[in-house]
Amino acid sequence: MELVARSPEAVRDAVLARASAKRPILIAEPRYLSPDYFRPLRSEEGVLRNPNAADYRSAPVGVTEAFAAVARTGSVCVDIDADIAGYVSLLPHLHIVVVDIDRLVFRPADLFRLEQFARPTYHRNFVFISGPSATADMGPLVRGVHGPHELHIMVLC
Amino acid sequence: MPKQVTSPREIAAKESRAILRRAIRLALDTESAAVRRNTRSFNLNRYRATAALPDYDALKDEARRIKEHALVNRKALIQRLSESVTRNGGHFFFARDAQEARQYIQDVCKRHRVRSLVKGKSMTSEEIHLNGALQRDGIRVVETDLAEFILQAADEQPSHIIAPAIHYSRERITALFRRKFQTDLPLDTGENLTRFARERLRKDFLAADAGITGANLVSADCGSLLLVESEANIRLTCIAPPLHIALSGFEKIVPSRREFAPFIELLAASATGQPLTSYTSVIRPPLAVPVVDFRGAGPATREFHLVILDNGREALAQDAQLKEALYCIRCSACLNSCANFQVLGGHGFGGATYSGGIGATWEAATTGQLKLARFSDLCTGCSRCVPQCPVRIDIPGLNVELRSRLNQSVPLSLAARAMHLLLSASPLEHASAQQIFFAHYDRAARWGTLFAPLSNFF
Ligand code: SF4
Repeated sequence: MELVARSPEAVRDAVLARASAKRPILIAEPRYLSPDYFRPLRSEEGVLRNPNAADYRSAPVGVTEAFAAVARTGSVCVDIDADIAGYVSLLPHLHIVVVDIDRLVFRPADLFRLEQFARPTYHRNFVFISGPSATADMGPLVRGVHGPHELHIMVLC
Repeated sequence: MPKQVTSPREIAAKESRAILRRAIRLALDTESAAVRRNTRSFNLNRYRATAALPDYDALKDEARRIKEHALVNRKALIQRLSESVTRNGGHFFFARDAQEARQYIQDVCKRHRVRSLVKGKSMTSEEIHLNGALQRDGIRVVETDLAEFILQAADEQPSHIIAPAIHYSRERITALFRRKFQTDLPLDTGENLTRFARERLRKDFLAADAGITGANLVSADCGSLLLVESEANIRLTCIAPPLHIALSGFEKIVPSRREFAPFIELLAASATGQPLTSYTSVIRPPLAVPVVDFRGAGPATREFHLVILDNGREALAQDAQLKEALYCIRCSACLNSCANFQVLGGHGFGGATYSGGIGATWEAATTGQLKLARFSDLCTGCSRCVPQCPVRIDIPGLNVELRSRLNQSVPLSLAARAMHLLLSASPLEHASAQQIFFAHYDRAARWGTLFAPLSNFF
C-alpha cells in the first residue's frame, strides 16, 4: 500500500513506477473517481484501454479504481461491472487499485449501512478484495493462484 | 472377513457399524497425520480471528436471528427470490430433489451445447452428484478449486466442507499428480504444484462454455449471491464463460443484501480464521460486463440460472428436533475443533457428502436415509464445538437425537415401509423417504411402537 497525492500526474508516476518494465498495462475506466485521474496514464506507451482476448491473456498489470476501502479487514471494493474492471482486476499478475481516502469505512458491514454507500451498494456487482489470490490446498500457503499474485493499493489523499 | 478397502469412496456411505469401523481403520492408517496438522492450523487461525472481532458474540446472535427468521419465512423468501431473479433477466428453478436439479442443469447445458464447463467448489453439487450426470452427457467437467481439483484427479469425495482435500499432505499430492498427469515438471513444492494446476486451469477457464457455482448466501429481494473464496476460481467461473448456473439449498436465502453483512466477517473468521478471505463477491447475475471472446466462438450474451434445491430440506425444516441444522453456514469450525474429527477427517467421520458432527443430520436429511447418519456415533457429546459455531447450533444435541432414532431403527423402518405404501398413493409420493423420517417422525415413531413386538423377528 502507498499514499499518493490527489493528482493525475502523481497517479501516473506511481503506477509506472510500480509496473516498472512490465507491459502492457490494462486500465478500466473509473466510474466513481474522476476520469481525469487515469487520463495522463492512458497516453503512455503500452497502456491499453480496449484490450482484446489476447491482451487479456498476456497483460501482466491491471489498474482499476475501488469505490471503497475497509480499514479493519484491509480490503478494497471493486465494482466489477464498471467498464472492464471485472477482468482487469482478475486476470493480470499485478493488480494496482486506486482508492480515495474519503471512501474509507471501518468494517464491511458499513457498506450496507452508511447512507453514502447503502443505496448504490445495493445494485453494484462488486468484490471485497483483501489480498492476492491464495491457497493452502497444496500444503503450505501459496500466493498467486487463479487471480493476481500481487495486490497494490494506492490511497489518494 | 471384511473385504480389503482401497479407496475412501468405497466406504463413503456408512450404513452399518461394520463399514464405519473399516472407514475408521483406513482413515487412521492413511489420512490422520495430514488432517491433524491441517485442523490445528485452522484452529489457531480461528482463535486469533474470532478474538479480534470486536463484537463476535453480537454477530453470532444476529446471524442466528437472521437464519431463524429466514427459515420461518422460507416460502415467501423463495417466491420473492424467484421474482427477483426473473426481473434481473435470469432464470429461476426450484428443484424438489437431486434428480430434478440435475435434470434441469443437464437440459440447460444441452440447450447451450456446452462441451466443457468449469466449477467452483459447491458441497450442494456434491450432494446431488452433478458431475457424473454431466460427464455422462459428454461434457468435460473441470473442478477449479485446487482441493477439488486434487479430489477429481484422485476420484475421491471431500473429507471436509471447506478444505475438501484436508487429508492430503503435500507429498501425496506430488505423487498423485505425477501418476495422474504423467509430467516431468517440477512438482516438489506447494508453489510448483500450484503453478502446474494454475496453468492447466487457466486454459480451462477461458475455454469453458459454462460455469457452475454454489453460493454462501442468496438475497431474496434482489437475487444477489454472496460468494466467499481465496483462489479467484469462483470469480473466474462467474465472469469468463457466458453461461452461469448457480446451485444452492433454500436455507441460504436471506431477505436482502443487508443480511449478508454480519456473515461476511463472521464466516471468514470462523472458516479460515482471516479478517476476510481474498475475495468476497456480492453479485447479482447476469453480470453487465461484456463477455470476452476467449473461446473464439464469436460474440455471446450472458445468461444466468439459479437452481434452488429442496432435496430433504423441507422435511428437515418441519422436524422440530433437527431443523437447527439448516442454520449451518458451512464454516467448518465444528469439524476443526472436534477431537475425533482431528484424528479421522471426514472420510472416517463423515458420509458420502457431508462430514463431522453437523454432517450426520445433513447426510440423513439429503439422502432421506436415517441409517446414513450412523457416523453420528463418533460424536462424543463433549460440546467443545458448540461455542465455536457462528450460528450457535447444538451439534451434539442433534447427534443425540439421531442416535436415539437410529437405535429404534428396526421398528421404524418397518413403520416407514408401511407408511410408504400409504403415501405412495398420494401426491406426496415424490417426497418419499425424507418425509417419512423427518416430517412424519412423530407419526413414524407411533407406528414403530405399534410394530415393536414384530421387530424382534427382523
Ligand atoms: S454447524 Fe456451525 S460450526 Fe459447524 S459448519 Fe455449520 S455453522 Fe460452522
